[in-house]
Amino acid sequence: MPHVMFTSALKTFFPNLKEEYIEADSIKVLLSELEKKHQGIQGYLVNEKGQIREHVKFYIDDEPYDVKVHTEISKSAQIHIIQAISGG
Amino acid sequence: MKLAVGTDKGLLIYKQAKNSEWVLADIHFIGMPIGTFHADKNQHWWVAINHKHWGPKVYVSANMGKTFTEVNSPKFHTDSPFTLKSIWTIKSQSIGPVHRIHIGTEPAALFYSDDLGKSWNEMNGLSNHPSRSNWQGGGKGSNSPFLHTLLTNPENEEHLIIGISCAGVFQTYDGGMTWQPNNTGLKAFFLPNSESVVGHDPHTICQSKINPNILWQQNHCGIYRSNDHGKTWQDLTDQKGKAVYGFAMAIAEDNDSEAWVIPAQSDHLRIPHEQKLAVYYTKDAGQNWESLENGLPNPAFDLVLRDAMDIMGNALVFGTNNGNLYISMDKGQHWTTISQNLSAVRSVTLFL
Repeated sequence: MPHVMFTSALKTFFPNLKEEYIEADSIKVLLSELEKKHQGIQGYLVNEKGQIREHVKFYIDDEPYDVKVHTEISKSAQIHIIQAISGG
Repeated sequence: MKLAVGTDKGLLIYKQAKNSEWVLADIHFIGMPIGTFHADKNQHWWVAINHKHWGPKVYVSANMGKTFTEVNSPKFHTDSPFTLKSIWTIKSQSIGPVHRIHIGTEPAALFYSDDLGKSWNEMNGLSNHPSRSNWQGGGKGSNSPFLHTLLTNPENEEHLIIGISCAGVFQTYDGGMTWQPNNTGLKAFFLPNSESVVGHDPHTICQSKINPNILWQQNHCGIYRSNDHGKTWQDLTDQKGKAVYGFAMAIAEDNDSEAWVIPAQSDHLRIPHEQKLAVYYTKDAGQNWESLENGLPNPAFDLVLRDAMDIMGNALVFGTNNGNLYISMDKGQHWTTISQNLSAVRSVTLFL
């Protein structure tokens, strides 16, 4: 299962958030699974169109997530969800 | 009387102590950029946070700030060309037994909730207004117009008045189904046609509490007043050239001829005239303007943003983009410093 790690900044809003293994083969599925575990978290990561927010970054195995390239994610993927430095 | 100060780094609550000094009573949402604050008739506190990373969020407190609960934020429909960027205003309205909450946003739209934020409805007649292609962004480097002012009519719950920068004043008489621009008499010197039907920049609009048909407006291009709910506007800009450009405005609760503004030197020099921080006051519906600066600093490089001045009775308060906060208990004749160490002040609200 992909290993998902979060910026500590998200713990302000989701105190129980910690790195975890989540069964998902795409970012879309990952977001859906996260929402089941942490109600409301999708709204912090993506906008109403499901697009990752401008100043939120997903990294897959240290590469910036690209919706066109990373159509699938491997079972061994290391996923980092980070507040982008561009957001100040 | 309490004072809520919305800053770029949190919401501060001040209370007046027995010795009349204003003391900091509480800080909420430390480090977070406050979009707006609203205390409704049920003494519920509504707060918008415009997170740079996580998007706009809405919170409500039913216990005067002891605890806050996040409610749903308004969302544009997935078919909409827009996504929510920020929340500029929250207002409440009684419609029969319904306690309606309105939210004005960037991109410019008006949402309402009749279930205290569980769900939101977009007023599509405004979002899809036929003049929309002529609207433009209203500052802060954004290309999106934003809705920052909402006024209601206590005599007609279907009548709403809004201010959008930059589109102008719009009104609905059917509860938000259809909207008409009401900018007659305003000038927009930044447009090729300064008397354009839409495209105006009403920085803020105030409504008289004793005569709701009386509106005042601090506009990008001057100061205006309306006697007819904003259908037409009269130019009351200071002929001496001082009270012209600014953002914030307050009008007296008991006299619709008294108003206060805090002008900048010009739109391209957004600091006080001669670097002397001053509130400008008219007691004769804009025929004359005088400066009130007793207790205010010189030199100063402050700008007062659109929601950063408020009035209740004789208490007049304002905060600045440099984090300074001043109050007068005699309608501006004498000013006292509450703090000079805040983050940029976005909004101030006096409430009980």
